[in-house]
Amino acid sequence: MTMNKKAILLVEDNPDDEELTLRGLRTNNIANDIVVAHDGVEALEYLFGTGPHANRNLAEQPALILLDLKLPRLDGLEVLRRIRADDHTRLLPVVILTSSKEERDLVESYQLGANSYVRKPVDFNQFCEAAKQLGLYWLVLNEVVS
Amino acid sequence: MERRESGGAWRKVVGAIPGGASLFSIAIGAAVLVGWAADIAFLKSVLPIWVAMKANTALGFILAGLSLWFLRQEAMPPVQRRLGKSLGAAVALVSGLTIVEYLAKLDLHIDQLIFTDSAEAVATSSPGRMAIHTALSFAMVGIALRVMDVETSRGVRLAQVLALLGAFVPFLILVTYVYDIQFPGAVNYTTSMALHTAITFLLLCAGILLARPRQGLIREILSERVGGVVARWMLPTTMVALFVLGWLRLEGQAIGLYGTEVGLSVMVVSNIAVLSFVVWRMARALNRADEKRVELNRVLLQRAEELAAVNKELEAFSYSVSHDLRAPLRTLDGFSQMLLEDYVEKLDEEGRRRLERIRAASQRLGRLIDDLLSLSRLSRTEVKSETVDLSGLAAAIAAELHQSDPYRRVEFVIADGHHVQGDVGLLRAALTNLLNNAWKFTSKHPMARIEFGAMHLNGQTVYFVKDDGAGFDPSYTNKLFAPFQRLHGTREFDGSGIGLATVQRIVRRHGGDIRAEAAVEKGATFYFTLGK
Repeated sequence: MTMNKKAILLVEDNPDDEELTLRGLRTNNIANDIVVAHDGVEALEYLFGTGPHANRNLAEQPALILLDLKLPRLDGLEVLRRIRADDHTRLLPVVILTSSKEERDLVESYQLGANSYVRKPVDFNQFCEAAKQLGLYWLVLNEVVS
Repeated sequence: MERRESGGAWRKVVGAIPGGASLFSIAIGAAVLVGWAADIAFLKSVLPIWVAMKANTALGFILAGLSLWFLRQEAMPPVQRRLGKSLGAAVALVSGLTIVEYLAKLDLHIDQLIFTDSAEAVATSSPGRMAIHTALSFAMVGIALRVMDVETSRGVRLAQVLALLGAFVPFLILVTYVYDIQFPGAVNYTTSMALHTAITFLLLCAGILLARPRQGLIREILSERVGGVVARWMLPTTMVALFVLGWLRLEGQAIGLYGTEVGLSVMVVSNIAVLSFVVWRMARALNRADEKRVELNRVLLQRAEELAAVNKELEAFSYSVSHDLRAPLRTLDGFSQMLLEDYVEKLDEEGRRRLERIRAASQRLGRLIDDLLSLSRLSRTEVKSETVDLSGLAAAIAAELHQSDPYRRVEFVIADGHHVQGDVGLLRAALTNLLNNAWKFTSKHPMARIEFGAMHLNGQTVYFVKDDGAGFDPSYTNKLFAPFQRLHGTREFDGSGIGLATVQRIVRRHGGDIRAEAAVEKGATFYFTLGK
């Protein structure tokens, strides 16, 4: 098994959570590039190569998208909807990584085609464990359409 | 409805009628028998020109009166009720035999069983025999008493229908006495009935009707609702008005004001006037009640809308709590951990300990927020109704607890076969909380016993979860079910103080209730019901 070397797109508006997630991924030897988008609009600009990412090579899409739900400008569910609506991005693995455990968030995420739903634990050790499991599963075990 | 406050007084009067009627009937019957025995004409016929009450009729009244006495209330002892019904059957038998005598032109020798009738008796077919109308009325009263508590599948009380039918002829007779008229061709045996016979019949029938005030057709008249109020006003008004009008018509005719045809027209017009007035009053009462109802409905709808708005706000609030309140806690915990990891050589023992305290506190607050959210979610989600195997749930939870700490010596005693209608998810949560508590509060004892069972109390199934653990001071039971109330320090037993609040909410949403019994170091028992 080889590790997927493509980038990870982390969509996260909270700088603290961003740092925690990055550390969680790094301490578990996940060496992929991590691109951070701070809101839904930034995430879509990166994925669709618009705005500041106009010159990006769109053949290189991230191996995994970690998507928060509560985001400024465009929320996570809307981002997910746009990802699934576009032919270039519809097959990308999207993992919802959020604080919420509300039933309707779960249901809506899965209905819109989320591949996985992970709730961020308060306990940092559990958080790191979650990041490790996510990396192991989505970057190593899981086979994606290339 | 406006008269609800004064309802007590007339209800007492109405409640006393069955008993009063039965005593009256017995007294009249006894008096007439004395009249026959001592040959006192007044007791037999009130006025000598009127027909006398026959001895058999008097006996019938005593029997019917006794029967009604034993049946005068729904809550009479079974022995008395049986006796009452048998006496009713006896009345029906005597009257039935008399009817047979009339129809078959027989003499069964029951007419003068007690006393010999006088030869000059007024309006009598054969000596000592009660009039056919009296016999028919007795038949209906007797059967009515016999079937006092029989109800058809459509809620019709046969006794009440018979009482009304049985009252028809005596009422007619009473009116003829008051109007001082005679049927054409009278006096003859088919139309004669003694005055006190008619009055006693009317009272007996009223007694039978009112003996079961909450059943059958009388219920509508005695109801607290607008229909009952209107009926209680309309019935006497109409009766008295029509009665007086009829009397006036006869009097007018008697003094030659008008002939029969004009008299009839006057009667018809005045009846129409009276009934129109009564109907108008009824319409007004119904309209007012309806207006009130519409207004109340409007207010209720408005309340419901306000409540829905508040609920929505609450939902938005808890959604926001769920998302936003936990994020800073993650920062607190995560960055404390980073400090511990990255600055390990710069921190001494005490520094590390303090950071651990920060981490523990943020984790506890995280759990608290989660518990609070699930508690608030409990009040918002719909309660499903399905058959739930409570015993099975309890056994599964017990097995999980055993697995969580296999070295603890806890004996679970779980009663088999308790099924209930309810929401399986919510009931599992409730049982989990109760059994977890029992598990937690027995943890300081080397051996423990935790029991789930049920018992019957006042026709209700009461479930219980019982342990022999730390218990609590029973004077604090009132604090037990309020959220965030804890009877033990966190140092002693961990917890957020939300478990029992959750259980209570689940139980109440199932239409039940919960209470606790305990003593310090003697264990605790939680009793709960789940609806009817």
